[in-house]
Amino acid sequence: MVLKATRNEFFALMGEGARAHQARRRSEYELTLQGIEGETDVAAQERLVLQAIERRAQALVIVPADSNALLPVLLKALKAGLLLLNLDNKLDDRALATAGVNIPFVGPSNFLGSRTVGEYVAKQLPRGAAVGIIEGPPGSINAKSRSDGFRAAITAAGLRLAAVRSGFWTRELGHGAALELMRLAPDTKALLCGNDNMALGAVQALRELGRSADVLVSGYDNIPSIRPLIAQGTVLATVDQFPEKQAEYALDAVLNALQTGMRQADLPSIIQSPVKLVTRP
Amino acid sequence: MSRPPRLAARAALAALAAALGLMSGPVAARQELRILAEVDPPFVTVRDGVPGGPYIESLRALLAREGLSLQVSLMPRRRISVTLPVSPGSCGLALNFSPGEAETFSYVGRVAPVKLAVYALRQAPRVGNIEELRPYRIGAVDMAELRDFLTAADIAFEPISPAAQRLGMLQRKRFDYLVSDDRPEMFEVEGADQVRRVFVLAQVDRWLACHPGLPPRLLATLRQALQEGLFAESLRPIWDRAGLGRYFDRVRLEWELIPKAAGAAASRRSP
Repeated sequence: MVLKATRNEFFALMGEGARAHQARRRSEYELTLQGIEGETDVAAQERLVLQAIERRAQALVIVPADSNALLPVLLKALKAGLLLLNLDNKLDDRALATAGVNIPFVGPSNFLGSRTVGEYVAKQLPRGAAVGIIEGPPGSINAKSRSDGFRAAITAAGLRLAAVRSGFWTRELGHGAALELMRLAPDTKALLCGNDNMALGAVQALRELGRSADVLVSGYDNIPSIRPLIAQGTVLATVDQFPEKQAEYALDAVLNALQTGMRQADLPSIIQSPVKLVTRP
Repeated sequence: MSRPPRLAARAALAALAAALGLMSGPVAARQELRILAEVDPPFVTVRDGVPGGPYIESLRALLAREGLSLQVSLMPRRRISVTLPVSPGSCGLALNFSPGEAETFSYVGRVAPVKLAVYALRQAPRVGNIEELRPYRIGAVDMAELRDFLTAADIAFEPISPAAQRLGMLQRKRFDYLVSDDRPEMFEVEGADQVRRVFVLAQVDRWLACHPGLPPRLLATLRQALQEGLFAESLRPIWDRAGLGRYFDRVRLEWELIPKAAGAAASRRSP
């Protein structure tokens, strides 16, 4: 299993879920769990895929750092005979269709999750209020999907989209994106963040600007670091995507396919995992 | 909205079981595929309650060769988004790509290209690129790829839905510029002579997207049938009958999905 952003608590939990699964079913398979430190280090992730090919792994579960850029090396893995599953951040269907391959996606509907958190935030705002979106990297389908869910909630509630800035999933760049967004649109009343790390950066930015009291913040992922801020009300809401469950679903699907001799082309194209809105108790 | 983990796991296992059960044997003769589509003249039309138009007729012709028949249900685009993920055995025709929807249904094959272009009334100020649209009131057809282009350029816009109202809204000066898909009959409505195309913003594709539980063998058949979208040379009579022969030729010439003869490629490079 190849993860990304191993310093991000979300993926640390995903890794724990994978290890726990392997511990329960250790007689059935061996697990090599690897990951890159950064969120978008495509080259490092490519090297890990090549290592898996050289190791003659039977199957590979990957959380791609980019929904398009990883595809060439993944096609090499398919050619080498690895069974391939895509976890959490969906590979771009447009590129998959061009390549003519089926790489199943195991993960949640980010659109539904973000629309739910967006609707929750919208209930606290008057019609016409300006809302900013801090999204993940432009090359990630789940970043775009979350922004689309936020937009759907903004439109349905009669709010106004102030601007969208990328925080590239990190606290530091989320902080910078929030500062820029508040400079561009000082009347912004809420920042909908595509993950919790960027929400933590946004909270810090609003503190520095003295705007914590009048600008709402929401996150996404329910990582341990965000939970105290949810409990205090500093962050209004987040979404739990159960990263441990995602890992379990993917590994169950891989084992089932290997044990029944299912071919890559015969795997179901989407295996959906749950999402849940998390607010102050 | 969210399913408890146990239920979701059951659904995942059911999808696996369905895939296993349905993948045996070739695509059965006269198997029926349910197609969800939005009325979108001149491509998808309805006459005396019967769905038609070159998109539907072309798909019907392509899939008939594979032993598949179509049962077409017409509904608004937004209803397709909600219906398709919970309708096994169904596909949506001519859907635009949306990252959010890609997590709930599968984009199987390209069916047609779409040019996204900027339109204005003839007297509107000249603009040469997307950045220059920023100070103006913009109306844009409601497509995820277009939303992404415009927000990336910090351009505020009013989404237009249903899209049929687009030109009328521009003519009534509801906004200064319209961003829309380029359509063969765009300029054939009353008053359209006041409207001009300012520039083309991008080219994207329309897709056949299917319920994720569709049997893999059937998906492979659909992908194979759609290698040239709905613009295979064999479909020319359908487009001609619809009065869209020139549009068909233009798509075949310009769309990268259509294989080009070496001579044709050379002539396209020549001025």
